[in-house]
Amino acid sequence: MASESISVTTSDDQTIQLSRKHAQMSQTINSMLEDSVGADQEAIPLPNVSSEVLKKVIDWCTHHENDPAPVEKVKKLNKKREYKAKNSTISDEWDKNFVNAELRVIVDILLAANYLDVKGLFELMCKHIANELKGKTPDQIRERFGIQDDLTEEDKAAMRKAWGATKNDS
Amino acid sequence: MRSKPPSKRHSSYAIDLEAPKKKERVSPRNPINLLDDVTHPVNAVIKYPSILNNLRGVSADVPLHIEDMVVVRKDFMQLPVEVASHVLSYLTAPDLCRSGRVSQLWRSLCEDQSLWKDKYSRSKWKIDNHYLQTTINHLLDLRPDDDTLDFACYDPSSNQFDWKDMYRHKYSQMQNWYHNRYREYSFHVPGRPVHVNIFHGKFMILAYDLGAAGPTERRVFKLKIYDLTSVTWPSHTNIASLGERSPSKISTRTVVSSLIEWKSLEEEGLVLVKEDETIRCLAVDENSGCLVPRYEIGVRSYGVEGVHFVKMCVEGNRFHCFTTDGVLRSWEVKTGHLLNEITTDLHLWSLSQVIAHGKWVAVLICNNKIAVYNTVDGVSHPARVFFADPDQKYESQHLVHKILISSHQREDVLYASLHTGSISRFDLQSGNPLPSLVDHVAPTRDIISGDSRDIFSSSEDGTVKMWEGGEDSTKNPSTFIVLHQHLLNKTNQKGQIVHMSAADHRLMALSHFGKIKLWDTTTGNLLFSIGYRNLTTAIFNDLFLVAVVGQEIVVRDFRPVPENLGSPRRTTTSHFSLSPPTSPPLETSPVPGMSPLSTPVVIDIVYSPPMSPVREHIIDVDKEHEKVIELEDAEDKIDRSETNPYYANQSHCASVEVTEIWLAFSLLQGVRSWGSTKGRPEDYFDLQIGLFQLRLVNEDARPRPIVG
Repeated sequence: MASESISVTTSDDQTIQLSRKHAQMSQTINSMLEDSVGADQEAIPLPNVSSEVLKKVIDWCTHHENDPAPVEKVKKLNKKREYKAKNSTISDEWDKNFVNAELRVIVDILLAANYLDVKGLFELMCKHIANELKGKTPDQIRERFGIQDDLTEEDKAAMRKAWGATKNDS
Repeated sequence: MRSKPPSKRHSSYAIDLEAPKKKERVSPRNPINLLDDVTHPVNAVIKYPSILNNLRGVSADVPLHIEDMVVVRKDFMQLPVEVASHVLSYLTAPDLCRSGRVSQLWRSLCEDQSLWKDKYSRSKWKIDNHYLQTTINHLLDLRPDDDTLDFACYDPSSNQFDWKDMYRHKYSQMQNWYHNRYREYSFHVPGRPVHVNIFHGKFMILAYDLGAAGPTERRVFKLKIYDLTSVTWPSHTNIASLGERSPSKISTRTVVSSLIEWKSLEEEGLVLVKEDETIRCLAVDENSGCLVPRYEIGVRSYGVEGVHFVKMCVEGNRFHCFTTDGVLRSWEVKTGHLLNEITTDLHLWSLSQVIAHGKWVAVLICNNKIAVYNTVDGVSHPARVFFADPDQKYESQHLVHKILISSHQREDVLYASLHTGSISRFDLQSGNPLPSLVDHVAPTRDIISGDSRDIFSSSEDGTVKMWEGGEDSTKNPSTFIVLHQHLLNKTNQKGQIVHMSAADHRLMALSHFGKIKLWDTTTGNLLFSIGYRNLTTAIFNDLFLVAVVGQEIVVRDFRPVPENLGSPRRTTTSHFSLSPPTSPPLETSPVPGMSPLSTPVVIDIVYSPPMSPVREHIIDVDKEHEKVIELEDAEDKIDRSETNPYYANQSHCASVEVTEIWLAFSLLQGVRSWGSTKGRPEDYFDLQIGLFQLRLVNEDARPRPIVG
């Protein structure tokens, strides 16, 4: 068996050690390791992830290292359940704390999770951002995410009309 | 590919440097350089042509100002488009629409067809054929096969199909159910209704029995078609009831017979009327609603004398009927062509229940034995015989209450609800028994199949349970309480649920106390509950709920409010403002045994805000009138959790002022949606104003405690 810890190099040229178990939670690193059996002596370059973000990812992995693998879970579900509406509730208390961070950090973690292909973390971040959007008016969203309003009044009127009476925001 | 060797290396790895070289592989950062994209948003737009294409009206060469860069940097929708749409897929429809109004980029992301298609398929709503018809004609013959909602047959990439609009259409229809927005009216029919159904979304077909002229005469039935959309909502909409109002009649047909059975095929728009010696097929015209005779089948044409048709069953594109000599014939529904004839050894008296599904016809014989015939491969003998109680342990005559065949992933399964409380299952192909569904604590009565693979079963314990189809369906059904146990114990009655039906995530159950309850099966929330005296049956579709109450037909109209009436929310709120009654206060109590204002009247207010569990409050009303009933702030009561997918910002009137108890009565005289739930009107009765359900309780007969 190969070494129990893997070292990776982040975008800011820091080498970080992480355990094999954690590394394998990332499909990206996992496939790199599989492709290079016996060649794990070199640090794996992760040019898209900063050390700050990677530390966060490792934090999350440490907390969730004993979770059942998400792939198996999906297989068990029968087809009908997959059709159930998506639920963005974050049930884990630790996760709730974890996402309680600055938006910039959240987006960076989301991108890192996407790049590293850490499924659970990716879902968590998506859910968190979705929750941020929920129940907010367009104005509130623009303010929260710092977005310029480039829609014309006609566009807005058209969209408001399209959805009709089912919504009541301004 | 390690283009850039790491500058720092852990020393312990240095000795392994001679190990075989890694095979060339594409660095994951090359195809999508995420980091760069975020830092330089201009690149992001150019690198993702899919975003670019979506940006209707915004071309890539619109220069971004340097000052904007900082702002755009924070716009997380500059994420790769699949990540962004994954985030958006967690949003509810109203949130998604709101997000679409943020900016051009967000708009294009939020109006993505695949997002809405996913939403629609997750919602498990049926494909709305009526909608398709009015939008795209060429999609009409595409019907996704039964439950799977297989959208593969559609081409969603073609711009002709707007999933968002279809979702919106269905959503706005359903919102009125979830938020209990409706108008109600009723009308009287001169006979006893025997069959009611809704065709093509708006034509109500109603058959009623006018009785026989004399003891030896045959009975006279009338079949009438009403256009439910012909009743228009008046402009003064501050009251839910439209009073006596009858929809326009389109066509009438008289049938004279002694032995009659009605079957409706909503999908095809056909009614089958089985008389003694003939089966008639009548078509309801899709546009005009007129009844057009299609074909007639006479028993004499088969060269037999002195026999009658008995026990007809319809499923899909074929129908089957036994004759008194035990022959089972199958016909094609559309044309009336005879497809098959099976000679059975069954006697007329032994047929207690006949059902059909696909090619199978199942017959319940002697409450234990179920014979299943294969009507396609036409064998004389039963294809299969099942014994609900193979060991003959059960002594009673009434073991099997209801049988049902349902398909699970192309496997046909026979269900039998048993007096022992369990539901037996058999695989029809192999004939093997499957694990039973065990959860009911009292005899199971009715059993129906619902959306996709769900099975609903009702039991004398006063509950309806929803079983998910598939492999692990024997475990953990969802339970819907129709009748509360304490009520059943008190009255010593069995909780008989006389009728159930399910469509589009809604489950309706009728109890023999005259109560109609309707649930949202995705969340388990009670949408509403109404009580009628002498309730016979009720049906519902996307827009209407029709209840047959004695000789009265009560229609609840859930159509969206016309735009000129203002927002539906306003009208809902105005239900609560009790305006002075137009008629003078009643002299006598409408509730027998409860004299007006002499005994304390307790009003339980069951406030059921949309999509939240029913909450009950007890408020005492002083007999000295002038009492303000405080309701808790509706905002706080609404289930705001994310598990509630239909949650929308709601604000409701928070208090109702009742100055005179009879004021409410007078108002309710018009509302008509009241009735005793127990068949003993002196105990209490239920009434409903808008979202509020009032229960007037006679203090002496008050069950304690009403709420736990």
